[in-house]
Amino acid sequence: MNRKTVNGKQRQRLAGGILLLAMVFAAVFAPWLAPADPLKPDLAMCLAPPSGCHLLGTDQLGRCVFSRVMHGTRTSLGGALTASLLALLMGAGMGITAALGPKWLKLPVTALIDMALALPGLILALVIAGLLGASMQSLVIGLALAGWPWWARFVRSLTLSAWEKEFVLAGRVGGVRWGRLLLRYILPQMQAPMLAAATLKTGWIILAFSGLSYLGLGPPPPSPEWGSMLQEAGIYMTRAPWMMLAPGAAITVAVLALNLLGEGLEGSGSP
Amino acid sequence: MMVFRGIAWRLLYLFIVLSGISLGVFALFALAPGDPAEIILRERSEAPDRDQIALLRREMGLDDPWVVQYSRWMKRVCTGQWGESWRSGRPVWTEIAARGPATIELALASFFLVVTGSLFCGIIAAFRQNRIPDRLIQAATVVASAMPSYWLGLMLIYFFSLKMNLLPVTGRGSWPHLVLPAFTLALSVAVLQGRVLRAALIQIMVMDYIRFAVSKGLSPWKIFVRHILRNALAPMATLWGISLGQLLGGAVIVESIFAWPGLGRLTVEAVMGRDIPLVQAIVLLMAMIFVTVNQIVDGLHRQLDPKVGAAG
Amino acid sequence: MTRMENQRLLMVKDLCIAKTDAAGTIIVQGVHFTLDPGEVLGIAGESGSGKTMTVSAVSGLLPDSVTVARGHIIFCGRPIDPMNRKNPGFTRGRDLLMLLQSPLTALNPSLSVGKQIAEALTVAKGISMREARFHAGSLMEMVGLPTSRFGCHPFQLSGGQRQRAVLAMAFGLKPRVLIADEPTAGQDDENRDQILGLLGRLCRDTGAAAILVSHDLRVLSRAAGKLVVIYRGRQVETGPSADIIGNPVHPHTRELVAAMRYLEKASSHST
Repeated sequence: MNRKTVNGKQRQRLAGGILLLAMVFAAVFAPWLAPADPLKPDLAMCLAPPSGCHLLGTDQLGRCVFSRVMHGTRTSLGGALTASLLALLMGAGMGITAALGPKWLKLPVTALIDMALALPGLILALVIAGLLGASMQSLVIGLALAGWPWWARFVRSLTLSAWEKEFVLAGRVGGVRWGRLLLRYILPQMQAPMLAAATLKTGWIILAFSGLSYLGLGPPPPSPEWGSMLQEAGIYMTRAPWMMLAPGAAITVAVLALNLLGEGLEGSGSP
Repeated sequence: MMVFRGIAWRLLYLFIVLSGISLGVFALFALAPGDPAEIILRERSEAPDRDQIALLRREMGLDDPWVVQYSRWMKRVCTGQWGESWRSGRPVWTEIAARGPATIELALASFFLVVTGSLFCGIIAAFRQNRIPDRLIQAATVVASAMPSYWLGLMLIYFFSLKMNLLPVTGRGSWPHLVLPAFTLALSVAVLQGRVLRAALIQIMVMDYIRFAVSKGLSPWKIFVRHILRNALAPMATLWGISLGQLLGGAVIVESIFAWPGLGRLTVEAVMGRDIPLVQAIVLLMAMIFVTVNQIVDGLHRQLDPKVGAAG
Repeated sequence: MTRMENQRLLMVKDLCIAKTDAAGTIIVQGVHFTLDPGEVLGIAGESGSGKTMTVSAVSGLLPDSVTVARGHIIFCGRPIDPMNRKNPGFTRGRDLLMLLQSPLTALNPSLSVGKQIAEALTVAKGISMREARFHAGSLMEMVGLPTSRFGCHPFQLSGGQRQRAVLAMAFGLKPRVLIADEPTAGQDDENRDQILGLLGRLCRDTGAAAILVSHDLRVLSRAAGKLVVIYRGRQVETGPSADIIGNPVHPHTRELVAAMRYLEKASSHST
């Protein structure tokens, strides 16, 4: 039983990793791999069904859906990864402060975390990104600001439990300097759970990123993004149902890959 | 929060958090680019000149220091005057009241689906562990939890409304209108919670007290309801409570897909239209609902899990 | 089957238990014993010897990871399939009740002990929950558990009190065969004597036969008339307790007897 789950975790990691690598590959080499220019309209080919020329059909301006999805990997995946990383860094800083900071700082930081947690993340991101104006940057900022409180709470509890471990206690008693204690004693313990959580959280951020972009908050029109492509596909649903297939599948596969990888990493613990 | 023992401390802390939130909400004024006075005048479709703007700024007290503005705003909020929408000129309460029922309807329907769906998936999967039904549910969970609601919704509309003509496309009205939005909103939450329930049930099923219950000769149904399910419900109730927040957040997108005239769409419209008073009101209201729900869930957890109740 | 065998209350013949994994490792092999009404049988062995597995198999409570590979279990002349939840002519609880090793985990954490005792009564007597609650109080008094504890949840009771609650259920169910796995584990001397006293009283009052499982021969020698010694999954010795303790043959039995003598000497010195 035990060995079986271990193998299951390995399989999950492998499957997730391969899918993710494929996506990153597509993002990096999109300009060379994509069969057509994702931005160039071809009014003679509006809403054409899938064919040998355009594998997944064309959109309302005659642009190749396949190429747009491929280029969209750069926007959607890149944007979500940036936001995820920013949220992690911000949240980790706040979380460690809330756990180990000086007394006068602990309470306000903890209260700040609870305040930010008092709103559904998606709504917080929507309000911030929306008021900053529809663009790639404001979306990334909005998602980072909506994502950090979760990280802060997570890192805070990880730090607290690491702080109580016996060898950390020994280090504290033995007079190890604070910075060294944090870097050498505490952070290494948090690495594995944080890596798993980061992977899973990035999946959520991709969903939110493309979701807000679906609502019209993403990078403005000609640039290809999965969420806004789906929004356009919804408009032309009756005439060109194929338009919604690829962007949605791309989001699903990206999130699926991250979920599998994250779950595979979860609990696999120390090397 | 271990730091805060006792109800008095809890309430004080809650008050601190809520006033912090109000400060953040107030700060939305600053975040939004543009001069509010100018925005309002433009909404009234006048081409505002400088004097008009200056006049309105003075009227609205926009030139006062922010502490004064905040305390004035706070006083109004506490007395229930949450201001008027910049776009429509109507009180924000009127706007919210007009949209609230639709969201409540959708959230309740989804919540019902989340509870029943997670119970169904979790119980079947746990009792057919590693057999075909369990594997099917597991696979469905993996895919459904990765699927964006705005894709699922579009495909459901395409197949059930356009192709098969079974359900209305969008909008609100009769029961059939509710089916697709509620399902879209609930699916990913339901399957993920079903998986949590499955894990909890499997863990409980091998406990000594279950084996002892079997040994006592209790009927399988009694064992299931009183001994297995009951012990799994305490953690599940917390999750279900939390899911209300997820559903409120998800409603923002789902309501837009299905043109559902609720708070979620109102939020999007207000944000896109930079209707700050309306955004402030919605954010404040949502935070209050969210915080209240969390407190209720906490209390419910104490009720269901005697250990927590005794400790706290 | 002879007439003689038919009269036995419980008969276990050549019991063999194996893991369900591919290797099918055998964990218990060739266990034989019989039990007559009113008789007390002791099963002795070190921890991990397979004694708990043996009685779990007899009670039909084996975990999914193991199975009965061979052998027969015959209750009142009827063969019983231990891997099946239902056997005709055999009612769990009333015909055979097994008290699990740890009283700490044998009670449902989210139901009050009173309700759990009452619930056992509804099975035993086929009465309603309301009537059962009425009787439950007197059962609690019988085992020395104050009735004021009726509404307490298991975590609010001490280990000894929980074991008494479990015994109250046994008194209510009046099983024809009672199996008690390490009934005194983790109890102090005083509690141990009281619990053994209660078990003896239960057998006298209801005419139940009992199987006691323990690594401690002090417990078994006091209560059991007959002994079975299990060592590494094999039955190494069986016979009347006095004979085995007075004249142990197998080396392992000698060790157990030596341990018993040592402990007896130690406790007599300390008092």
